[in-house]
Amino acid sequence: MPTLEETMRMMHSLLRGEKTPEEMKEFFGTSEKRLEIYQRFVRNHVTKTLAKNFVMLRRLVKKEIWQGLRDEYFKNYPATGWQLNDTSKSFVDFIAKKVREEKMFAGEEFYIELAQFEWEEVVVYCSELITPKPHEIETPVLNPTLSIMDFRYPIGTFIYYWRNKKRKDPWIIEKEYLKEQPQMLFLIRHPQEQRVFFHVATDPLLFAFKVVHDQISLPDAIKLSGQTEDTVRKILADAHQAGIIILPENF
Amino acid sequence: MTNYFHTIDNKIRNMGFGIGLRRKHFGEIFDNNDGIDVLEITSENFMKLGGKEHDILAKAKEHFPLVAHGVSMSIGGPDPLNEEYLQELIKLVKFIETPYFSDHLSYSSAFGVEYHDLIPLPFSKEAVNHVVPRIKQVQDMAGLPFLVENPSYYVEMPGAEMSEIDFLLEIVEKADCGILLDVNNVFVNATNHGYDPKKYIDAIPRERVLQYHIAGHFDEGEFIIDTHGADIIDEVFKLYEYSIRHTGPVTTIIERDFEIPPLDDLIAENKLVRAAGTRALEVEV
Ligand SMILES: [Fe+2]
Repeated sequence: MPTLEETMRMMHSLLRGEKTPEEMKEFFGTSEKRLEIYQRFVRNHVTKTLAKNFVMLRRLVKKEIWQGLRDEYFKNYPATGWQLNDTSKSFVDFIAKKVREEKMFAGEEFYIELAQFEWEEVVVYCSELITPKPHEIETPVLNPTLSIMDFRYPIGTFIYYWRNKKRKDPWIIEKEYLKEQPQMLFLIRHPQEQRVFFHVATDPLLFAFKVVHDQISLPDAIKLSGQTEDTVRKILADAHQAGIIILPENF
Repeated sequence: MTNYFHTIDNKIRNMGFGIGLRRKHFGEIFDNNDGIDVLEITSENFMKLGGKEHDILAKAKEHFPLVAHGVSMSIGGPDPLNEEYLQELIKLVKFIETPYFSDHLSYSSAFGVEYHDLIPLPFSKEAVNHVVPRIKQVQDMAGLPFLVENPSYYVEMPGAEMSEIDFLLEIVEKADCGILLDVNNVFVNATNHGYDPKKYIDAIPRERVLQYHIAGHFDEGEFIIDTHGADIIDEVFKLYEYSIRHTGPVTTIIERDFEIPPLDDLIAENKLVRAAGTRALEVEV
């Protein structure tokens, strides 16, 4: 009679896809079909989560290539966290390796940055930090879910364009996006909408960020910017509206 | 040893009829909930999340009694229980003020890898001795009664020394914990492994059952799969009635994890479950 650990190790090699149901049916004394269910379920949890978390990247590559990527990923990056999204956590590293070492996607680093963006959206959405309400604070604060991403490619422009165009599959990427054009993005989970938004870091948004980050007082901010009080207030109000900073109720 | 299981009174044992709190229904559950007495929280869907999930949970506990049900504890797994997971779980159960918490009598991770699925245990003495202290450990950590759910399984693991029901009963008696009886799982397992589901239910000490799950399943031909993705079938309703006659009224939750229907459909199904539960007890009288 096998020990508990022996049985679990056999199951493990089935679930990890190291052994086929055919090879295992004798040990388990059951049909391949029943063993296949477990193998399929465990694999699907990873691949479906991947497909959900990297929608853009998935739609940019041919179906067979995507299938190849997810199968290789499943094999080489076993899930280690109890959160389902954690199963996707090493995918960016995996894509980076494919692009840099194996020259996948003609070695275009754009694809790595796109993967980074999509993963960061998941991370920001899932942040366990709680954004304070305006009535709970005395001075302006940054949205604690804020993530600042520095890209070499125009990722924000690309995402905006593609999400609003609703293109049919297969997606083909225009050359303009593959040209380097640095872009800094602010990603936040919006305090009211509770969805993730991104904003290209424009000068006014960067200024609002700096004022709140460095805890600069309103009079000092006015002096520093050389703008009128109304303009500075408007800049801060816009950043608040965008969800990047939170202003107190009476600000 | 603290006796958690016996802290449950009749009021907690029967909180009525309810459904799981699903993201799809976040927008309307507070306005449209006719006949929903209680909500079940799938713990992992809310643990460590600070945004919408956190806000909804805070609101839900003002409107409904909540019970916590998890899928990732891996109570039967070979690795030590995941401390970080348990701490997060305890934070959640304290926050929602659930009277007990539950997970499946199976394992979902092993040798450092998460499967995100429920893998059956062999019905062996070794497995009993492995699981019992782990249940005691989580009960002591949370200071609340723990309920094990009878999981569905498609393969009977090698090394069985007892029946499925004896395995469950030996564990709950030794660990002194409760049972979350999933009637659909009893039906699915009885069908797939060829036993009489009524005999399974007859064997359960009635006072151990603190919650029910009822759900639909998927017919794969050679066997049926417990997908939580379809309506409840008549035979499962009948088995539920049979079980209620045995245990008396107990909190019942409809489980629906996939192809989640509109809230109105679940409200209607919940009414059918209530009718079945009520009918069962009328027959007894
Ligand atoms: Fe269940």
